[in-house]
Amino acid sequence: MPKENRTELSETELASELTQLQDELCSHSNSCGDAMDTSDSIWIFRLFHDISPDKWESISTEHDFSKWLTLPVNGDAFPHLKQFQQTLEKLSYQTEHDALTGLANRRALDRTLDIEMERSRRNKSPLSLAIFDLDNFKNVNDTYGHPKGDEVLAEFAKRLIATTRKYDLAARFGGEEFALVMAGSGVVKAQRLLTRLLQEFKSIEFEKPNSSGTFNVTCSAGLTCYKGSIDLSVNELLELADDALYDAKKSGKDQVKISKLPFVDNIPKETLVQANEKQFLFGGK
Amino acid sequence: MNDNNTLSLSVMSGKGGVGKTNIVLNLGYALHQAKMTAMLMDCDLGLANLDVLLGISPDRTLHDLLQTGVNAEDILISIENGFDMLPATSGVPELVEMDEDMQDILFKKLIMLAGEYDYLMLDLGAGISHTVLSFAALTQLRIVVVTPEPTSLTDSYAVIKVLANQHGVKDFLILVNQAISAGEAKQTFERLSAACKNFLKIDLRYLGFIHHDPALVESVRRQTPLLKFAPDSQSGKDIIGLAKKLMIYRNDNKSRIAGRPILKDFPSS
Repeated sequence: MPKENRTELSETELASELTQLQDELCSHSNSCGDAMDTSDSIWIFRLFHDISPDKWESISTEHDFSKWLTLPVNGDAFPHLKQFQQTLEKLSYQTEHDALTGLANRRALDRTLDIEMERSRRNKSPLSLAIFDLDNFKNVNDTYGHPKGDEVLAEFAKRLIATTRKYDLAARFGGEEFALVMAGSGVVKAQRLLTRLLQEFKSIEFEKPNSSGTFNVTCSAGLTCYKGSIDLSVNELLELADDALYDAKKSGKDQVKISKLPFVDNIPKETLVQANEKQFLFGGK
Repeated sequence: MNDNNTLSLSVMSGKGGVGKTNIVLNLGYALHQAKMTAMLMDCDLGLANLDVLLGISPDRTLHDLLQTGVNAEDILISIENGFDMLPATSGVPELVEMDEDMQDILFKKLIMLAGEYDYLMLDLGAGISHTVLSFAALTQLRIVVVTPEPTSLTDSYAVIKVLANQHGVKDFLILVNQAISAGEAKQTFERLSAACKNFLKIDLRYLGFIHHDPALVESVRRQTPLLKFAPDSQSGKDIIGLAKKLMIYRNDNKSRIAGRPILKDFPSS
Protein backbone atom coordinates (compact mmCIF):
# COMPACT_ATOMS: atom_id res chain seq x y z
CA MET A 1 0.00 0.00 0.00
CA PRO A 2 1.48 3.37 -1.01
CA LYS A 3 2.74 5.40 1.92
CA GLU A 4 0.76 8.54 1.11
CA ASN A 5 -2.54 6.64 1.50
CA ARG A 6 -1.79 5.55 5.02
CA THR A 7 -3.83 6.95 7.87
CA GLU A 8 -1.30 7.81 10.52
CA LEU A 9 -2.63 7.30 14.04
CA SER A 10 -1.05 8.38 17.27
CA GLU A 11 -1.19 6.06 20.26
CA THR A 12 -3.72 8.31 21.94
CA GLU A 13 -5.91 8.33 18.89
CA LEU A 14 -5.72 4.58 18.63
CA ALA A 15 -6.72 4.18 22.26
CA SER A 16 -9.58 6.59 21.90
CA GLU A 17 -10.85 4.92 18.74
CA LEU A 18 -10.80 1.47 20.37
CA THR A 19 -12.51 2.77 23.49
CA GLN A 20 -15.24 4.37 21.45
CA LEU A 21 -15.71 1.22 19.42
CA GLN A 22 -15.75 -0.88 22.55
CA ASP A 23 -18.38 1.30 24.19
CA GLU A 24 -20.46 1.35 21.04
CA LEU A 25 -20.33 -2.44 20.70
CA CYS A 26 -21.10 -3.02 24.36
CA SER A 27 -24.18 -0.86 24.09
CA HIS A 28 -25.48 -3.35 21.49
CA SER A 29 -24.61 -6.47 23.44
CA ASN A 30 -25.87 -7.87 26.73
CA SER A 31 -22.57 -9.40 27.75
CA CYS A 32 -20.15 -6.90 26.21
CA GLY A 33 -19.07 -9.68 23.89
CA ASP A 34 -18.14 -12.05 26.71
CA ALA A 35 -21.01 -14.50 26.36
CA MET A 36 -19.95 -18.11 25.88
CA ASP A 37 -22.53 -18.64 23.16
CA THR A 38 -20.56 -17.98 19.99
CA SER A 39 -23.31 -18.83 17.53
CA ASP A 40 -24.05 -15.16 16.93
CA SER A 41 -20.59 -13.64 17.27
CA ILE A 42 -17.99 -11.98 15.10
CA TRP A 43 -14.34 -11.07 15.19
CA ILE A 44 -13.47 -7.47 14.27
CA PHE A 45 -10.24 -6.83 12.34
CA ARG A 46 -8.62 -3.47 11.67
CA LEU A 47 -5.16 -2.88 10.30
CA PHE A 48 -2.92 -0.48 12.25
CA HIS A 49 0.37 0.66 10.79
CA ASP A 50 3.33 1.65 12.91
CA ILE A 51 1.99 0.00 16.04
CA SER A 52 4.63 -2.47 17.19
CA PRO A 53 3.92 -5.32 19.59
CA ASP A 54 5.75 -3.40 22.33
CA LYS A 55 3.72 -0.27 21.72
CA TRP A 56 0.52 -2.31 21.75
CA GLU A 57 1.46 -3.92 25.05
CA SER A 58 1.82 -0.55 26.78
CA ILE A 59 -1.38 0.79 25.21
CA SER A 60 -3.23 -2.38 26.13
CA THR A 61 -2.09 -2.24 29.74
CA GLU A 62 -2.80 1.47 30.15
CA HIS A 63 -6.30 1.37 28.69
CA ASP A 64 -7.28 -2.14 29.84
CA PHE A 65 -7.54 -3.57 26.34
CA SER A 66 -6.63 -7.07 27.44
CA LYS A 67 -9.63 -8.47 25.62
CA TRP A 68 -8.40 -7.16 22.28
CA LEU A 69 -6.22 -9.65 20.46
CA THR A 70 -3.51 -8.63 18.01
CA LEU A 71 -1.83 -10.41 15.13
CA PRO A 72 1.16 -9.26 13.10
CA VAL A 73 0.62 -8.68 9.39
CA ASN A 74 4.01 -10.15 8.64
CA GLY A 75 7.17 -11.06 10.47
CA ASP A 76 7.49 -13.25 13.52
CA ALA A 77 4.11 -14.38 14.81
CA PHE A 78 5.53 -15.93 17.97
CA PRO A 79 5.27 -12.96 20.40
CA HIS A 80 1.72 -12.40 19.29
CA LEU A 81 0.72 -16.02 19.61
CA LYS A 82 2.25 -16.09 23.06
CA GLN A 83 0.24 -13.07 24.09
CA PHE A 84 -2.79 -14.59 22.42
CA GLN A 85 -2.37 -17.72 24.49
CA GLN A 86 -1.80 -15.81 27.73
CA THR A 87 -4.96 -13.87 27.08
CA LEU A 88 -6.91 -17.05 26.44
CA GLU A 89 -5.61 -18.58 29.64
CA LYS A 90 -6.52 -15.49 31.58
CA LEU A 91 -9.97 -15.41 30.05
CA SER A 92 -10.57 -19.08 30.72
CA TYR A 93 -9.46 -18.57 34.32
CA GLN A 94 -11.83 -15.63 34.61
CA THR A 95 -14.76 -17.62 33.27
CA GLU A 96 -14.51 -20.07 36.16
CA HIS A 97 -13.06 -17.98 38.99
CA ASP A 98 -14.19 -15.22 41.23
CA ALA A 99 -11.94 -12.17 40.89
CA LEU A 100 -11.92 -11.09 44.55
CA THR A 101 -11.31 -14.41 46.27
CA GLY A 102 -9.85 -16.60 43.53
CA LEU A 103 -12.46 -19.25 44.38
CA ALA A 104 -14.46 -21.02 41.71
CA ASN A 105 -17.50 -19.07 40.49
CA ARG A 106 -21.09 -20.14 39.88
CA ARG A 107 -20.30 -21.50 36.44
CA ALA A 108 -17.55 -23.77 37.80
CA LEU A 109 -19.76 -24.77 40.72
CA ASP A 110 -22.57 -25.87 38.41
CA ARG A 111 -20.17 -27.78 36.19
CA THR A 112 -18.54 -29.57 39.15
CA LEU A 113 -21.88 -30.42 40.73
CA ASP A 114 -23.06 -31.84 37.43
CA ILE A 115 -20.02 -34.12 37.16
CA GLU A 116 -20.00 -35.14 40.81
CA MET A 117 -23.73 -35.93 40.85
CA GLU A 118 -23.23 -38.16 37.84
CA ARG A 119 -20.34 -39.89 39.62
CA SER A 120 -22.53 -40.29 42.69
CA ARG A 121 -25.35 -41.79 40.63
CA ARG A 122 -22.99 -44.27 39.06
CA ASN A 123 -21.02 -45.25 42.18
CA LYS A 124 -23.74 -44.67 44.78
CA SER A 125 -21.12 -42.61 46.61
CA PRO A 126 -22.05 -39.74 48.91
CA LEU A 127 -21.76 -36.12 47.79
CA SER A 128 -22.29 -33.31 50.27
CA LEU A 129 -23.06 -29.72 49.35
CA ALA A 130 -22.92 -26.77 51.72
CA ILE A 131 -23.99 -23.19 51.10
CA PHE A 132 -22.65 -20.44 53.37
CA ASP A 133 -23.87 -16.94 53.96
CA LEU A 134 -21.96 -14.47 56.15
CA ASP A 135 -24.30 -13.20 58.88
CA ASN A 136 -25.28 -9.49 58.86
CA PHE A 137 -22.73 -8.80 56.16
CA LYS A 138 -24.52 -5.66 54.99
CA ASN A 139 -23.71 -4.12 58.39
CA VAL A 140 -20.00 -4.79 57.85
CA ASN A 141 -20.08 -2.96 54.55
CA ASP A 142 -22.23 -0.12 55.91
CA THR A 143 -20.26 0.32 59.12
CA TYR A 144 -16.68 -0.31 58.07
CA GLY A 145 -16.82 0.28 54.33
CA HIS A 146 -16.58 -1.95 51.28
CA PRO A 147 -12.80 -2.49 51.36
CA LYS A 148 -13.21 -3.96 54.84
CA GLY A 149 -16.09 -6.07 53.58
CA ASP A 150 -13.88 -7.38 50.80
CA GLU A 151 -11.21 -8.22 53.35
CA VAL A 152 -13.74 -10.28 55.32
CA LEU A 153 -14.85 -12.10 52.18
CA ALA A 154 -11.25 -12.85 51.19
CA GLU A 155 -10.49 -14.13 54.67
CA PHE A 156 -13.51 -16.43 54.62
CA ALA A 157 -12.39 -17.76 51.24
CA LYS A 158 -8.93 -18.40 52.67
CA ARG A 159 -10.37 -20.37 55.59
CA LEU A 160 -12.67 -22.28 53.29
CA ILE A 161 -9.75 -23.41 51.15
CA ALA A 162 -7.62 -24.25 54.19
CA THR A 163 -10.34 -26.49 55.67
CA THR A 164 -11.07 -28.44 52.55
CA ARG A 165 -9.39 -31.37 50.87
CA LYS A 166 -7.87 -31.41 47.41
CA TYR A 167 -10.91 -32.92 45.76
CA ASP A 168 -13.42 -30.57 47.38
CA LEU A 169 -14.52 -27.49 45.45
CA ALA A 170 -14.93 -24.14 47.16
CA ALA A 171 -16.90 -21.51 45.28
CA ARG A 172 -18.19 -17.98 45.71
CA PHE A 173 -21.44 -17.52 43.91
CA GLY A 174 -22.97 -14.36 45.20
CA GLY A 175 -22.03 -11.29 47.22
CA GLU A 176 -21.48 -13.00 50.55
CA GLU A 177 -22.61 -16.48 49.48
CA PHE A 178 -20.18 -19.36 49.22
CA ALA A 179 -20.53 -23.05 48.45
CA LEU A 180 -18.52 -26.13 49.18
CA VAL A 181 -18.81 -29.39 47.23
CA MET A 182 -17.54 -32.34 49.25
CA ALA A 183 -17.26 -35.42 47.06
CA GLY A 184 -17.14 -38.69 48.97
CA SER A 185 -18.32 -37.15 52.25
CA GLY A 186 -21.57 -38.05 53.94
CA VAL A 187 -23.64 -35.81 56.20
CA VAL A 188 -21.87 -36.69 59.45
CA LYS A 189 -18.38 -36.03 58.11
CA ALA A 190 -19.43 -32.86 56.30
CA GLN A 191 -21.24 -31.45 59.32
CA ARG A 192 -18.16 -31.97 61.48
CA LEU A 193 -16.07 -30.05 58.95
CA LEU A 194 -18.56 -27.19 58.68
CA THR A 195 -18.92 -26.78 62.41
CA ARG A 196 -15.16 -26.50 62.74
CA LEU A 197 -14.96 -24.00 59.88
CA LEU A 198 -17.67 -21.77 61.36
CA GLN A 199 -16.01 -21.92 64.76
CA GLU A 200 -12.62 -20.93 63.37
CA PHE A 201 -14.00 -18.16 61.22
CA LYS A 202 -15.92 -16.41 63.97
CA SER A 203 -12.83 -16.38 66.19
CA ILE A 204 -10.99 -14.19 63.68
CA GLU A 205 -10.50 -10.61 64.91
CA PHE A 206 -10.91 -8.09 62.09
CA GLU A 207 -9.31 -4.68 62.66
CA LYS A 208 -11.80 -1.83 62.55
CA PRO A 209 -10.67 1.04 60.27
CA ASN A 210 -8.80 3.79 62.14
CA SER A 211 -7.62 1.21 64.73
CA SER A 212 -10.63 1.52 67.01
CA GLY A 213 -10.61 -2.14 68.05
CA THR A 214 -11.72 -5.35 66.39
CA PHE A 215 -14.92 -7.04 65.27
CA ASN A 216 -16.00 -10.60 64.45
CA VAL A 217 -18.21 -12.04 61.74
CA THR A 218 -20.28 -15.19 62.01
CA CYS A 219 -21.53 -17.39 59.27
CA SER A 220 -24.54 -19.65 58.66
CA ALA A 221 -24.45 -22.82 56.59
CA GLY A 222 -26.99 -25.11 54.95
CA LEU A 223 -25.95 -28.68 54.26
CA THR A 224 -27.42 -31.33 52.03
CA CYS A 225 -26.21 -34.68 50.79
CA TYR A 226 -26.83 -36.76 47.68
CA LYS A 227 -26.17 -40.48 47.40
CA GLY A 228 -27.14 -41.14 43.84
CA SER A 229 -30.18 -43.20 44.75
CA ILE A 230 -32.72 -40.94 43.09
CA ASP A 231 -32.80 -38.58 40.14
CA LEU A 232 -32.09 -35.04 41.20
CA SER A 233 -30.93 -32.01 39.21
CA VAL A 234 -28.10 -29.66 40.16
CA ASN A 235 -30.63 -26.93 40.85
CA GLU A 236 -32.74 -29.18 43.05
CA LEU A 237 -29.69 -30.07 45.12
CA LEU A 238 -28.76 -26.38 45.41
CA GLU A 239 -32.32 -25.65 46.49
CA LEU A 240 -32.12 -28.26 49.24
CA ALA A 241 -28.92 -26.70 50.57
CA ASP A 242 -30.52 -23.28 50.27
CA ASP A 243 -33.57 -24.41 52.29
CA ALA A 244 -31.22 -25.60 55.03
CA LEU A 245 -29.38 -22.26 54.93
CA TYR A 246 -32.68 -20.43 55.29
CA ASP A 247 -33.45 -22.67 58.25
CA ALA A 248 -30.08 -21.81 59.83
CA LYS A 249 -30.74 -18.08 59.41
CA LYS A 250 -34.24 -18.40 60.84
CA SER A 251 -32.95 -20.36 63.83
CA GLY A 252 -30.67 -17.52 64.91
CA LYS A 253 -27.72 -17.66 62.47
CA ASP A 254 -24.14 -18.76 63.29
CA GLN A 255 -24.94 -22.46 62.83
CA VAL A 256 -25.15 -25.40 60.42
CA LYS A 257 -28.53 -26.83 59.47
CA ILE A 258 -29.15 -29.99 57.51
CA SER A 259 -31.77 -30.15 54.77
CA LYS A 260 -34.40 -32.79 54.23
CA LEU A 261 -32.17 -35.60 52.95
CA PRO A 262 -33.19 -36.93 49.55
CA PHE A 263 -31.84 -40.44 50.10
CA VAL A 264 -33.78 -41.31 53.27
CA ASP A 265 -37.07 -40.85 51.46
CA ASN A 266 -36.10 -43.35 48.87
CA ILE A 267 -36.35 -46.80 50.39
CA PRO A 268 -37.15 -49.13 47.50
CA LYS A 269 -40.77 -50.19 47.78
CA GLU A 270 -40.62 -53.16 45.43
CA THR A 271 -38.73 -55.39 47.85
CA LEU A 272 -40.12 -54.01 51.11
CA VAL A 273 -42.11 -56.62 53.05
CA GLN A 274 -45.41 -54.92 53.93
CA ALA A 275 -47.23 -55.34 57.22
CA ASN A 276 -50.12 -57.19 55.58
CA GLU A 277 -47.74 -59.71 54.03
CA LYS A 278 -46.21 -60.39 57.44
CA GLN A 279 -49.64 -60.71 58.99
CA PHE A 280 -50.60 -63.22 56.33
CA LEU A 281 -47.54 -65.34 57.09
CA PHE A 282 -48.16 -65.17 60.84
CA GLY A 283 -51.90 -65.67 60.90
CA GLY A 284 -52.76 -67.05 57.51
CA LYS A 285 -55.05 -64.16 56.59
CA MET B 1 -21.12 -75.94 28.22
CA ASN B 2 -21.74 -78.24 31.20
CA ASP B 3 -20.42 -81.60 30.10
CA ASN B 4 -20.88 -83.44 33.39
CA ASN B 5 -24.38 -82.10 33.94
CA THR B 6 -23.20 -80.51 37.13
CA LEU B 7 -26.26 -79.39 39.08
CA SER B 8 -25.62 -76.25 41.12
CA LEU B 9 -27.85 -75.34 44.03
CA SER B 10 -27.70 -72.77 46.77
CA VAL B 11 -29.14 -73.38 50.20
CA MET B 12 -30.48 -70.29 51.91
CA SER B 13 -32.91 -69.27 54.63
CA GLY B 14 -33.28 -65.62 55.49
CA LYS B 15 -33.34 -66.40 59.20
CA GLY B 16 -30.25 -67.85 60.83
CA GLY B 17 -30.19 -70.99 62.99
CA VAL B 18 -32.64 -73.04 60.95
CA GLY B 19 -30.12 -75.80 60.30
CA LYS B 20 -28.91 -74.73 56.88
CA THR B 21 -25.27 -75.74 57.17
CA ASN B 22 -26.15 -79.11 58.68
CA ILE B 23 -28.58 -79.80 55.86
CA VAL B 24 -26.01 -78.91 53.20
CA LEU B 25 -23.44 -81.20 54.78
CA ASN B 26 -25.78 -84.16 55.16
CA LEU B 27 -27.41 -83.76 51.76
CA GLY B 28 -23.88 -83.84 50.34
CA TYR B 29 -23.11 -86.89 52.41
CA ALA B 30 -26.27 -88.68 51.24
CA LEU B 31 -25.37 -87.93 47.62
CA HIS B 32 -21.89 -89.27 48.26
CA GLN B 33 -23.33 -92.47 49.70
CA ALA B 34 -25.40 -92.80 46.54
CA LYS B 35 -22.12 -92.77 44.56
CA MET B 36 -22.49 -89.18 43.42
CA THR B 37 -19.68 -86.64 43.57
CA ALA B 38 -20.34 -83.33 45.29
CA MET B 39 -18.49 -80.14 46.13
CA LEU B 40 -19.75 -78.05 49.03
CA MET B 41 -18.86 -74.40 49.18
CA ASP B 42 -19.16 -72.48 52.43
CA CYS B 43 -20.51 -69.14 51.26
CA ASP B 44 -21.36 -67.83 54.70
CA LEU B 45 -18.49 -65.39 54.21
CA GLY B 46 -17.32 -63.86 57.45
CA LEU B 47 -19.28 -66.32 59.64
CA ALA B 48 -18.33 -69.72 58.28
CA ASN B 49 -19.23 -72.98 60.05
CA LEU B 50 -19.08 -75.85 57.61
CA ASP B 51 -15.53 -76.64 58.74
CA VAL B 52 -16.63 -76.79 62.38
CA LEU B 53 -19.39 -79.29 61.64
CA LEU B 54 -16.75 -81.52 60.14
CA GLY B 55 -14.28 -81.01 62.97
CA ILE B 56 -11.59 -79.69 60.66
CA SER B 57 -9.46 -76.54 60.82
CA PRO B 58 -8.55 -75.49 57.30
CA ASP B 59 -5.26 -73.69 56.67
CA ARG B 60 -6.57 -71.85 53.68
CA THR B 61 -10.02 -70.57 52.77
CA LEU B 62 -11.96 -69.07 49.88
CA HIS B 63 -10.39 -65.73 50.62
CA ASP B 64 -6.91 -67.05 49.95
CA LEU B 65 -8.28 -67.98 46.58
CA LEU B 66 -8.57 -64.30 45.74
CA GLN B 67 -4.77 -64.05 45.75
CA THR B 68 -2.82 -64.44 42.56
CA GLY B 69 -1.27 -67.87 42.16
CA VAL B 70 -3.68 -69.69 44.48
CA ASN B 71 -5.93 -72.19 42.72
CA ALA B 72 -9.17 -73.86 43.78
CA GLU B 73 -7.36 -77.20 44.21
CA ASP B 74 -5.06 -75.56 46.79
CA ILE B 75 -7.88 -74.85 49.23
CA LEU B 76 -10.07 -77.87 48.49
CA ILE B 77 -10.58 -80.21 51.46
CA SER B 78 -11.57 -83.81 50.90
CA ILE B 79 -14.27 -85.07 53.26
CA GLU B 80 -14.59 -88.48 51.59
CA ASN B 81 -13.46 -89.65 48.19
CA GLY B 82 -15.39 -87.56 45.64
CA PHE B 83 -16.98 -85.48 48.39
CA ASP B 84 -15.06 -82.24 48.90
CA MET B 85 -15.55 -78.83 50.43
CA LEU B 86 -14.25 -75.29 50.10
CA PRO B 87 -14.03 -73.60 53.52
CA ALA B 88 -14.57 -69.89 54.23
CA THR B 89 -13.33 -67.46 56.88
CA SER B 90 -14.90 -66.36 60.18
CA GLY B 91 -14.46 -63.04 61.93
CA VAL B 92 -13.36 -60.83 59.06
CA PRO B 93 -16.11 -58.26 58.47
CA GLU B 94 -14.25 -56.83 55.47
CA LEU B 95 -14.82 -60.10 53.65
CA VAL B 96 -18.57 -60.44 54.22
CA GLU B 97 -19.44 -58.30 51.24
CA MET B 98 -17.73 -59.40 48.06
CA ASP B 99 -17.92 -56.87 45.27
CA GLU B 100 -18.44 -57.80 41.65
CA ASP B 101 -14.72 -57.97 40.93
CA MET B 102 -13.96 -60.27 43.86
CA GLN B 103 -16.84 -62.58 42.93
CA ASP B 104 -15.55 -62.66 39.40
CA ILE B 105 -12.04 -63.74 40.48
CA LEU B 106 -13.48 -66.35 42.84
CA PHE B 107 -15.90 -68.03 40.45
CA LYS B 108 -13.59 -67.92 37.45
CA LYS B 109 -11.09 -69.92 39.48
CA LEU B 110 -13.73 -72.33 40.79
CA ILE B 111 -15.80 -73.04 37.77
CA MET B 112 -13.49 -75.55 36.02
CA LEU B 113 -13.08 -77.58 39.18
CA ALA B 114 -16.82 -77.43 39.92
CA GLY B 115 -17.50 -78.93 36.49
CA GLU B 116 -15.85 -82.18 37.56
CA TYR B 117 -18.60 -82.88 40.14
CA ASP B 118 -22.19 -84.05 39.83
CA TYR B 119 -23.36 -81.47 42.38
CA LEU B 120 -22.14 -78.06 43.47
CA MET B 121 -23.80 -76.88 46.69
CA LEU B 122 -23.49 -73.35 48.05
CA ASP B 123 -24.17 -72.88 51.73
CA LEU B 124 -25.26 -69.23 51.87
CA GLY B 125 -25.35 -67.09 54.98
CA ALA B 126 -28.51 -65.85 56.62
CA GLY B 127 -29.82 -62.38 55.88
CA ILE B 128 -30.30 -60.42 52.67
CA SER B 129 -26.77 -59.12 52.09
CA HIS B 130 -25.63 -58.33 48.59
CA THR B 131 -23.37 -61.40 48.61
CA VAL B 132 -26.20 -63.77 49.58
CA LEU B 133 -28.51 -62.37 46.90
CA SER B 134 -25.98 -62.36 44.09
CA PHE B 135 -24.74 -65.89 44.88
CA ALA B 136 -28.31 -67.20 45.05
CA ALA B 137 -29.04 -65.73 41.63
CA LEU B 138 -26.07 -67.62 40.12
CA THR B 139 -27.12 -71.21 40.80
CA GLN B 140 -29.53 -73.37 38.80
CA LEU B 141 -31.65 -74.25 41.85
CA ARG B 142 -32.33 -72.60 45.18
CA ILE B 143 -33.40 -74.42 48.31
CA VAL B 144 -34.97 -72.18 50.94
CA VAL B 145 -34.87 -73.76 54.37
CA VAL B 146 -37.71 -72.76 56.70
CA THR B 147 -38.88 -73.96 60.09
CA PRO B 148 -42.51 -73.83 61.30
CA GLU B 149 -41.70 -70.71 63.36
CA PRO B 150 -43.53 -67.60 62.04
CA THR B 151 -40.31 -65.51 62.09
CA SER B 152 -38.63 -68.07 59.88
CA LEU B 153 -41.51 -67.71 57.44
CA THR B 154 -41.36 -63.92 57.31
CA ASP B 155 -37.57 -63.92 56.89
CA SER B 156 -37.60 -66.45 54.09
CA TYR B 157 -40.47 -64.57 52.45
CA ALA B 158 -38.33 -61.41 52.54
CA VAL B 159 -35.43 -63.19 50.80
CA ILE B 160 -37.76 -64.58 48.16
CA LYS B 161 -39.35 -61.17 47.60
CA VAL B 162 -36.01 -59.41 47.12
CA LEU B 163 -34.71 -62.10 44.76
CA ALA B 164 -37.94 -62.06 42.78
CA ASN B 165 -38.35 -58.29 42.49
CA GLN B 166 -34.73 -57.22 42.32
CA HIS B 167 -32.96 -60.13 40.63
CA GLY B 168 -35.79 -61.64 38.59
CA VAL B 169 -35.35 -65.03 40.28
CA LYS B 170 -38.72 -66.79 40.56
CA ASP B 171 -38.05 -70.49 41.15
CA PHE B 172 -37.54 -71.76 44.70
CA LEU B 173 -37.61 -75.18 46.35
CA ILE B 174 -38.88 -75.11 49.91
CA LEU B 175 -37.47 -77.43 52.55
CA VAL B 176 -39.15 -77.42 55.96
CA ASN B 177 -36.80 -78.33 58.79
CA GLN B 178 -37.54 -79.14 62.45
CA ALA B 179 -41.12 -80.22 61.75
CA ILE B 180 -43.01 -82.27 64.33
CA SER B 181 -45.02 -84.03 61.64
CA ALA B 182 -45.60 -84.20 57.90
CA GLY B 183 -48.79 -82.25 58.50
CA GLU B 184 -47.05 -79.39 60.25
CA ALA B 185 -44.41 -79.28 57.51
CA LYS B 186 -47.02 -79.19 54.78
CA GLN B 187 -48.96 -76.47 56.60
CA THR B 188 -45.76 -74.39 56.89
CA PHE B 189 -45.10 -74.75 53.18
CA GLU B 190 -48.72 -73.94 52.29
CA ARG B 191 -48.65 -70.72 54.23
CA LEU B 192 -45.45 -69.47 52.60
CA SER B 193 -46.63 -70.68 49.23
CA ALA B 194 -49.97 -68.87 49.54
CA ALA B 195 -48.23 -65.61 50.49
CA CYS B 196 -45.88 -65.87 47.49
CA LYS B 197 -48.79 -66.67 45.19
CA ASN B 198 -50.97 -63.85 46.50
CA PHE B 199 -48.44 -61.06 46.78
CA LEU B 200 -45.60 -61.99 44.43
CA LYS B 201 -47.46 -64.08 41.85
CA ILE B 202 -44.89 -66.85 42.00
CA ASP B 203 -45.34 -70.57 42.60
CA LEU B 204 -43.06 -72.27 45.09
CA ARG B 205 -42.14 -75.95 44.86
CA TYR B 206 -42.15 -78.24 47.88
CA LEU B 207 -38.94 -80.24 48.18
CA GLY B 208 -39.95 -81.97 51.43
CA PHE B 209 -39.25 -81.82 55.14
CA ILE B 210 -36.95 -83.05 57.89
CA HIS B 211 -38.31 -84.15 61.25
CA HIS B 212 -37.32 -82.34 64.39
CA ASP B 213 -34.65 -84.69 65.71
CA PRO B 214 -32.28 -84.45 68.69
CA ALA B 215 -29.84 -86.66 66.75
CA LEU B 216 -29.22 -83.78 64.35
CA VAL B 217 -28.19 -81.53 67.24
CA GLU B 218 -26.04 -84.29 68.63
CA SER B 219 -24.22 -84.61 65.30
CA VAL B 220 -23.22 -80.95 65.53
CA ARG B 221 -21.84 -81.49 69.01
CA ARG B 222 -19.90 -84.53 67.82
CA GLN B 223 -18.64 -82.65 64.74
CA THR B 224 -19.61 -85.65 62.67
CA PRO B 225 -22.15 -85.73 59.82
CA LEU B 226 -25.44 -87.21 61.06
CA LEU B 227 -25.49 -89.73 58.24
CA LYS B 228 -22.15 -91.04 59.42
CA PHE B 229 -23.02 -91.70 63.04
CA ALA B 230 -26.81 -92.14 62.95
CA PRO B 231 -27.89 -93.04 59.40
CA ASP B 232 -31.02 -94.75 60.70
CA SER B 233 -32.29 -91.75 62.65
CA GLN B 234 -35.59 -90.20 61.53
CA SER B 235 -33.94 -87.04 60.24
CA GLY B 236 -31.21 -89.11 58.57
CA LYS B 237 -33.87 -91.01 56.61
CA ASP B 238 -35.58 -87.74 55.68
CA ILE B 239 -32.34 -86.32 54.32
CA ILE B 240 -31.64 -89.46 52.28
CA GLY B 241 -35.13 -89.08 50.81
CA LEU B 242 -34.48 -85.47 49.90
CA ALA B 243 -31.16 -86.39 48.28
CA LYS B 244 -33.01 -88.98 46.18
CA LYS B 245 -35.42 -86.28 44.98
CA LEU B 246 -32.48 -84.15 43.90
CA MET B 247 -30.98 -87.09 42.03
CA ILE B 248 -34.28 -87.78 40.29
CA TYR B 249 -34.51 -84.09 39.33
CA ARG B 250 -30.98 -84.16 37.92
CA ASN B 251 -31.64 -87.38 36.03
CA ASP B 252 -34.93 -86.13 34.58
CA ASN B 253 -33.45 -82.81 33.50
CA LYS B 254 -30.05 -83.91 32.21
CA SER B 255 -30.25 -82.23 28.84
CA ARG B 256 -31.56 -79.00 30.33
CA ILE B 257 -28.81 -78.93 32.92
CA ALA B 258 -26.17 -79.73 30.31
CA GLY B 259 -27.36 -76.80 28.20
CA ARG B 260 -26.99 -74.26 31.00
CA PRO B 261 -23.81 -73.00 32.64
CA ILE B 262 -23.13 -74.33 36.13
CA LEU B 263 -23.22 -70.80 37.44
CA LYS B 264 -24.94 -68.03 35.48
CA ASP B 265 -22.44 -65.70 33.79
CA PHE B 266 -19.52 -68.07 34.42
CA PRO B 267 -19.10 -70.41 31.46
CA SER B 268 -16.84 -73.36 32.32
CA SER B 269 -15.47 -73.86 28.83
